[in-house]
Amino acid sequence: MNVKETLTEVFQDVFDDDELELFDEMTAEYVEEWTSLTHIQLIVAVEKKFGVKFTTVEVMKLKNVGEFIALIEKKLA
Amino acid sequence: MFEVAIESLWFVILLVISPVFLRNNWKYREWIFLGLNLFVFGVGIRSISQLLFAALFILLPYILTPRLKNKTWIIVVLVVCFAYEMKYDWIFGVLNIPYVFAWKLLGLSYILFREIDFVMQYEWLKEEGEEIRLVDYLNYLLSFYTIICGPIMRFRDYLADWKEEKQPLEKAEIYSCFNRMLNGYIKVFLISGVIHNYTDKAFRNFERWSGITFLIIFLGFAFLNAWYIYFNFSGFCDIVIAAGKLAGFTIPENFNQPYLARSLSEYWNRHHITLSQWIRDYIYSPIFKWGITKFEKADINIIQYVMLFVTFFIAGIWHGNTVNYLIYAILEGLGVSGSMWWNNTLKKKMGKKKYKEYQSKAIVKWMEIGVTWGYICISFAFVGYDTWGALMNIFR
Repeated sequence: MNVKETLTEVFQDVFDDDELELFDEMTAEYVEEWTSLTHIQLIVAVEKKFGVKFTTVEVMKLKNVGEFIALIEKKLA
Repeated sequence: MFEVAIESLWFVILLVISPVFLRNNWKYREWIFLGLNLFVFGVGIRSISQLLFAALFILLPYILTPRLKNKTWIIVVLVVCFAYEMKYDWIFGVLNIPYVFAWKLLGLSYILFREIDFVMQYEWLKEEGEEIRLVDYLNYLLSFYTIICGPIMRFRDYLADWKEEKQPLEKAEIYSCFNRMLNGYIKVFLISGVIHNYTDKAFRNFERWSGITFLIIFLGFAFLNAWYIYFNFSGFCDIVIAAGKLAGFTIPENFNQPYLARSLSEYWNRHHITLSQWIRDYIYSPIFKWGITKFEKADINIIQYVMLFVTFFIAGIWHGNTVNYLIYAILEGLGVSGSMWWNNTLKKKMGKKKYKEYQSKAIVKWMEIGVTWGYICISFAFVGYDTWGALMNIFR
């Protein structure tokens, strides 16, 4: 399973939506439940799933799902 | 003596003439801006010791951030300095701490917010190859447009905006800026001025009434004070955003019809927006993340309620140093976490689909707006007045 597929599972789990599909340009605007409050839950779930840690600024820098995937891949490399 | 205030004539003149010097691509533009910023900031300096404290407080992050790997200590020192300078009554009074350095600076809290943002974003900017110069740092920290009352710009956004080549404004844009400034002054002088008269009168006469009459007067006072805060603060933001635009700055918006919010958490996304975003990034996100990681087995919702309370409690006490602001902070913390709990409980009970249907009903929408607004009014009754002291006198 690649990063995108695993990340999709995390998104589906956090936002409680089994039909949620990820694409690179996707932002919080596309997911109703994705608010600034649930964003942290998502970050922590991703950290746990991939065994990585993100800094506050790394999280602030993210513009969309594509950048999120790239950051995870960079951390795992 | 000059006073730095949005209504001071010299400050109005400064806002109107500054675009002539700042809305251009001159080589020395940054130094002109620095000169103006230092002048405005300097007007608020009253002694040599205050000047020395100001220099230390302002330069410390610029000097230490590139040299220290662990930036947390810089932030801790800044926050301790800030808390001491704020002279919180309920800390100083209880612990009997001597207050020997009365050096409260103009825009102290706004300087602190920007300093923390600078410290946090420093590595990010370096990664992007940004040259971080003292003149940019000082102009960012001390910008006379935003030092008095915000909005809070981010260092990265400020730099990008500053470097953008300035084009001449169209006539319609100039007209629209002056129009917004004028509207801002009408809000600050006329509307909030008139409202303030009534809140003052009501507050001074609290002791004359009792029973149900007192309750009605108190609620009226709370209602008017909330409008006073809105008109005064949003008017101020209208003035500086428009004046900033004339001078070539894109200052972020700070209000979006806050009294139409359906919950306290939505309210904080509409009122003092730049403060809400700042506390979300630098207080809520780190402590919530810490909470989830630390208490892995605890209910995530409970951690969220606790962290929301802590976050908005901090945001509340930032507003002022008396017991009244402590009460305001507790009410804000309880309000935000309470409204989150209420929405989560409804969602859980009804299920996603039914909850959506329930939320789409007009009556539900207006009831939520009404309850949120009422709660905000009650909490604002403790802002700007010694309401707690007055209530204690009445009920003693």
